[in-house]
Amino acid sequence: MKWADLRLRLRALVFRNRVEQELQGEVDFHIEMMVRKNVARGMSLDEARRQATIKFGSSPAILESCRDERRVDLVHGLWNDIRYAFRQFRRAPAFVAICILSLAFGIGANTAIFSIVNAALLRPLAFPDPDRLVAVFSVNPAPGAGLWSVAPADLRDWRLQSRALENLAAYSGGRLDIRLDDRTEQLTTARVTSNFFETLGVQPLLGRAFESGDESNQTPSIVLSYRMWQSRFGGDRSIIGKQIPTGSGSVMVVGVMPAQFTFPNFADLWIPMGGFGEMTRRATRYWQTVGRLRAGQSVEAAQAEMQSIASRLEELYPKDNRGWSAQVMPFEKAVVRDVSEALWILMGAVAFVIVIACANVAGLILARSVSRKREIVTRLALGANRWRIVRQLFVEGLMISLFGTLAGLLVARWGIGAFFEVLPNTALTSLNRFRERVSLDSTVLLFTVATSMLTAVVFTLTPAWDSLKLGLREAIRTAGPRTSTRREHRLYRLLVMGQFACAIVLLTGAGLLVQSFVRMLNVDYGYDPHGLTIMSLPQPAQKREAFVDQALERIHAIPGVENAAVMSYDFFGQLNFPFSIEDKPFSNGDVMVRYSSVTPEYFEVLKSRLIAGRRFESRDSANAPGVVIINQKLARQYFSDRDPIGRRIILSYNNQRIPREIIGVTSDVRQDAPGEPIKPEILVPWAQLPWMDATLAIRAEGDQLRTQRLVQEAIWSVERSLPPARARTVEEIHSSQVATPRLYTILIGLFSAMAMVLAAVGIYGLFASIVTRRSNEMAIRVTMGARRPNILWMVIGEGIRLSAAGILLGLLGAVALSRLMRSLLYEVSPTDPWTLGSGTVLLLIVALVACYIPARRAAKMDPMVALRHE
Amino acid sequence: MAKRTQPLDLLQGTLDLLILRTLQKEPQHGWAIAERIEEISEHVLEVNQGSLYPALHRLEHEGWIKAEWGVSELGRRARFYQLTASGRKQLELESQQWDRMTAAIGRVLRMA
Repeated sequence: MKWADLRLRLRALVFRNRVEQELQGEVDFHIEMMVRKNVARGMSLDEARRQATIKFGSSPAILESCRDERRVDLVHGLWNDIRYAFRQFRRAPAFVAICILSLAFGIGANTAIFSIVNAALLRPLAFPDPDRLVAVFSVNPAPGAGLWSVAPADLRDWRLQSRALENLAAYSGGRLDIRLDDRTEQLTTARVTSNFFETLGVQPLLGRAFESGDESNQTPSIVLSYRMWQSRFGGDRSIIGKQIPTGSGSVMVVGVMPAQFTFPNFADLWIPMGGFGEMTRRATRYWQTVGRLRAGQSVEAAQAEMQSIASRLEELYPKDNRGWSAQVMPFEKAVVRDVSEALWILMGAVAFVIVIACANVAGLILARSVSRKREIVTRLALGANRWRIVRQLFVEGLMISLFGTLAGLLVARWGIGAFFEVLPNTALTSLNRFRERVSLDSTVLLFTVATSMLTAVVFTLTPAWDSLKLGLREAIRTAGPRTSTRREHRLYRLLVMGQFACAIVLLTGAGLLVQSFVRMLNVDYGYDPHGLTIMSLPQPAQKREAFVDQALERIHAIPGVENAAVMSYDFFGQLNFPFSIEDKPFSNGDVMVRYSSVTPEYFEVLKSRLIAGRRFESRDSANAPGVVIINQKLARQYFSDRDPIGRRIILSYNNQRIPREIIGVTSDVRQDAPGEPIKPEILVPWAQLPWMDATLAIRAEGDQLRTQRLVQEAIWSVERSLPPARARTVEEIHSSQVATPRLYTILIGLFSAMAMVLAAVGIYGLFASIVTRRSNEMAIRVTMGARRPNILWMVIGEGIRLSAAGILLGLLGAVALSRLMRSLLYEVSPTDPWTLGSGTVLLLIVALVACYIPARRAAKMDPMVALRHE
Repeated sequence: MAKRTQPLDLLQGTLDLLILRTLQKEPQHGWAIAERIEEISEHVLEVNQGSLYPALHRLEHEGWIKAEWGVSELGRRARFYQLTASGRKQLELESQQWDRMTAAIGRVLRMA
């Protein structure tokens, strides 16, 4: 670049006004000289001026090409374009507002959802060489039983025998009461094998990770999470090596993990497992696994190898392993497998929203393009540079999407906040734990912004494209106010049709979810949940039987408590045990069933019905013959041809096979969330087989919180040293069981509401534009004798036909997509005619209302005004 | 338009040369440049204002001419353009090229 060039460019940029004035002065001088010359030739002054102006030509065009020579025009021009765009926007505030709001919702919802998904599922799994991480599951012999957790002994054998895996670790959840400053606090722990961190490839921030042998320490070693270390120990670096008292002894801190490491389940701390003989358990499967493939090994190779190891184990340990195989899958897939389907549906739903939003923007811009076309043609006729016009439209489109993006960012931030507000406190606590980790996801933001920009820019450019293609003369001819709108409107119609198609898909999806949610809320649990509280019963290390009896006695004495029972686990029928029938063993070995150990009051507390035989009584004591009660499901499934009472089943328990007599059949009690089927269950008397943990089921009148407090006092009155019990009402538990479906229902409902509003705006915009463009035709109709209701219904009828066509199209799509929904639905057919029908009606009403406004305007129009307007 | 013996439109690129040549003797303003070209060419060449001013700006950016405000013969402020040193060199170069080209074209027209 030459020095003169640079200097002049800078001058043009900095002293913009002066340079412009100079240019204008030069041109003025030239014209003045021409006038003088003409006068000298004998023309009148006026004529001289006229001739000079004609001869000089379009001075703005000349000035413009001079500016082009200055080449700073891109900067100035851009600034001008932006100012011009603002002026355009000020003249059409409704247009701009709707465009920006549409984009804001589309971009905002997409970004919010994807950011949450990313933080919840993908980012916690950011480990070194993630492609080599796998999960291994046990596969149950029963058909349809799916993937199982893994027995410790199986894991040990797999690890020792596998060549394809470099390492194989396990983790499971747990809780730990720690005492800090005389307060007992319950923490969420991850129990992990000592090679867990090594397998994942993560290093501690402080101290050390677990090493082999840690699991057998009398004082367990623990590794703290960064969050825990900061919040409870103030980031004290001398914490390493310190002992922390717990509910039953103490633990020693050996390490602190870095902040970003929170796997599994956003744990507060990690504690080793597998010691004290746990590693030899083969009958109970409760460990989750994570393994690392040796470099160069594939998942398929590991799968083949694991299968052969599993079949060897089958032969070696037929009692526990017959029929059990193993399944290897990529770790990431394994971790998200429960939720990924629902999340994909959710992402699909927001994708629909952004499609509808973009269609809105496109349609509005198209409608405006008709009047823009005249403006463009006029400017071309006045000598404007075509590319300047294209660039100016481009800037306009860009600005619309830019503002949409900014508003979308606000919506996304607000949406993420609202998402966590909607989450019930009792439920999905693990979701709440990662709240601080959620940040706007740049990938999806970029994607949605790119989509919206493309939409805005492509559609703002269409009028320019037409004018440029047709050539000036043709463009002027066709750019009349009433002509050449047909093509735009045809495209606009297609867009609106597409919007209604998308909207009905979302709406029916939401309808189905709402219906299945309502059915979940009204599900028959098989017991009366009202007034029922579940409370953990911490036990002392010694004399547990006596303690449980005594505690129960005191709890029964509390005023308001109707009845209370002790059972084996957090909730009804949550344990799994293998069983077989004594006189008719299963051909493929034992079958897993649900298991509960309960005190005799259990059935009365739950108010479940006795179908046959008798309940547990005090005579079913530790020394009496072993008895069980089975649920109706088990009776139907395995004793369909005979009376189960008096038969004997064999329960594998602690590596013993104990035959027990069936003394009763009880009505089914729902063990899992409403979406899950009821499973066969075996109940044994607590006195005969007490479980290591005890849980209270209490039925009480009145305030449940008061009851919980009184029960806590009763427990402490027996044994003061125990940690506080955790209590939840069954209604709270139910609420958290349906929390995830509720969340999906709320979100999809929200998205479909957005879709509906956007589609309404779309069809309103279309008909507002149609009515304006066709006011001439309408006026002629009125003068020819058409009545106002005729006009009204003509417009509305057109709107209904259009939206109905879109809805029909969408219904076909909804039916095609309904298979994907099935996993989220509960007792509702994905093609439920009631839902499809009511969605259709609702959307048609929306279309009708949206069309009514422009239709009424058309009908009220004064024909004379409309005709003169031309 | 082309049927009558109207002034000829300037060939692409020749305007620059003519402007530089016109400025060789003394600084001139835009109007005078146009008038002078028309006069000397006996109204065969007509300078279109739409090309003149962009060309002047272009040459200025090239560094071949520079502009200054002065007072015109009628006592009015006008923008005067004058050749720079590199402008003179450029004029020489372009004149030579022009001569070579017209000579070559002339030969072809005579002899081919």
